[in-house]
Amino acid sequence: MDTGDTTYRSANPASRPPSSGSREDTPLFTEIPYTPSRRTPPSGRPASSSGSSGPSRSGEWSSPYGGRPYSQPRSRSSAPSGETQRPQNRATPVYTELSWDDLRRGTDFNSIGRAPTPAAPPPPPEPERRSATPYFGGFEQERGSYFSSDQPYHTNGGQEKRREIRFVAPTRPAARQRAVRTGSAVPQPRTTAPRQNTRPTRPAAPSSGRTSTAGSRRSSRPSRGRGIPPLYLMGGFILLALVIFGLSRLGGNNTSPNTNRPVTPAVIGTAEPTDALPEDSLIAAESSPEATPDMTPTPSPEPSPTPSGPKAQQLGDLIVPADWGPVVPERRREVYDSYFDKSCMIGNSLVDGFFMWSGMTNIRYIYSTGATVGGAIGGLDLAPLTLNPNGYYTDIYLMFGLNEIGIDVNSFVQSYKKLVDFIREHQSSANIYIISVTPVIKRVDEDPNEAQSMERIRNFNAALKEFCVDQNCWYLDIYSMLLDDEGYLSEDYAFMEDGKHFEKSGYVAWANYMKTHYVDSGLLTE
Amino acid sequence: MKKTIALLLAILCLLTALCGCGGKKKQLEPETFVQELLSGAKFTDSLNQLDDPVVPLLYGVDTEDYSKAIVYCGTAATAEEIAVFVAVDDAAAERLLKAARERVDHQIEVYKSYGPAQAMTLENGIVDRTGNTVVVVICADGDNARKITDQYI
Repeated sequence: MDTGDTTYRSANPASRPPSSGSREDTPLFTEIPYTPSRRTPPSGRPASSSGSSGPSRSGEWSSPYGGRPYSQPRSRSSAPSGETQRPQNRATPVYTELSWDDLRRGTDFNSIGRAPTPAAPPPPPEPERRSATPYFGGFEQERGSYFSSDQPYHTNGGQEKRREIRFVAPTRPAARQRAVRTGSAVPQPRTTAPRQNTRPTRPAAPSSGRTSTAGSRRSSRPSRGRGIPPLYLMGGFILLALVIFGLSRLGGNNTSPNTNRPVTPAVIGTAEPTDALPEDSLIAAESSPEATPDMTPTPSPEPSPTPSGPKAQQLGDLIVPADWGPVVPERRREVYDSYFDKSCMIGNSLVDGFFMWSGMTNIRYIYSTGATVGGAIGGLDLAPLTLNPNGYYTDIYLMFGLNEIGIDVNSFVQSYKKLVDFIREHQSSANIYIISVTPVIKRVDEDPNEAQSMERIRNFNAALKEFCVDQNCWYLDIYSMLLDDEGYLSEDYAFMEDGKHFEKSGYVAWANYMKTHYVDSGLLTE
Repeated sequence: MKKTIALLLAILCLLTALCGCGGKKKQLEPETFVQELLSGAKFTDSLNQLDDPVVPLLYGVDTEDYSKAIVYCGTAATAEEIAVFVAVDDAAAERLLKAARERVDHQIEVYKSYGPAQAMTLENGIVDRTGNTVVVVICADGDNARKITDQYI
């Protein structure tokens, strides 16, 4: 060992952020004034003195803050043989940096930097080192590789020293230096060693021949625990978790009755109809556990009942139902009352009640108590339809059925067809809504003297749906909206005296339903 | 002279006493009148007050003809209703009274075939005027409704 050299073992350069400001704030080195006979105990010195002077200015090697980066070390062959690191200023005291482990283990400072001899005492038990230095295995390994070299470090030139410098220093030099000053065993933080630094720390290949007793001991030390970066450990845990998760999912699918079904996300299985489904149905499909198995594609030859394609299509000036059927779907946006400025509602006493209590006075109402669809033409004053120019109304609502529920359903539908034809003749571009026959309360349904029974009402509504498909009309399903849990007209809406008409709350609910169930050009793309 | 004064005082007292025998009419306040009807007469329908924009459309009247209108209607299941219009002048009161009668007549025609009982109720209904106030009362409990109304009209 060239005693005249000043050996710099800098801190791990990668552990310090390059933009961490002044290096005076982060002392990096433990400096030991060198004397040929005896090395004094270490004392702290700011890293700036060593980092900014000496090697970096000499050009022999560069610090991570200037000159050549550590990641591009000079090759050993290119280093001049016998090159030594000498300080620029010979008056500069000689320092030798010590690692924290050296201090903790009570390493003889005189032996620091010297090539170990076979007579070196055996290292302390490994568990102690692990507990004291939970992470800085890289340092141990690197130092082992360094000391395993047959060549004295000062004869390896600056290049060898650079490699050594990278891995000696702790990741937190300041804390470490405080520990050096106080001599206390400060728990060293567990930090992640940068990858670019762990690669050079690997022991030299056996073919290099630079082995020694100490080097063999350190090289033979298992690198697990210390050598494995936590990043790899975390990755391993994540991979293990993914494998376990995948196995559990695979096991869950195997327990389902459809074991032959491909493991496909539910969304993929219903990609086409999902785009057109209403938002609430999407939510229901996602939240319902029973719906999850049905969402997976099945090779069943039976056609899926879920419709596909657009909900509406353009037919001349009309927006008519498409594959989704004639039921007016719920729209994403609620419209204002002004949306119905060009609307007309024709019907019976329920229209009278709607007119009085819905709050939508802008609709043109044509109604009569006791009106029937068969008696609409001639019985109702349809002059607004005939006198206004064609195209004046954009939406026409028809509300019949309460007073003719006792007649034959086919007659009912035929009467509807006559009225629709009449409307199409005078207002050909208007969307025609056939409002469903409304339900009745349970007492009326069970009364044999009453013509209105829920069964007949359902039959009428089914016929109206088919009629809407045939006639390109829309079916406004307020029937379903008015039902209670038992399938009758809800008492929240019903006028209980007759069980057929609605209280004000029922008409308001009907109006709100219309504001969220309407047909316009936006339905063509939904 | 004294006899003459005493005779005049006696006649004045007699006239005053006779005026009291003619019956006392209440001053018709629309809100009070309607509430008294709702509480004193039995309506089969559940009546609620209509919003102001609906009133002229339902009765076919001009909003400039009245300064106040209180209309209570049912569920459209019955013909029961209460309407009180305070006309701005005598002519407006006549127009309002005419419109009210036309409505009731139309309702009678409608309910003759659909609900004869309601048609009877309509025929027994009250469509009257006191001063510039026009009153319509269609109630199944016609007798009580008439008693209450007679206190004002």
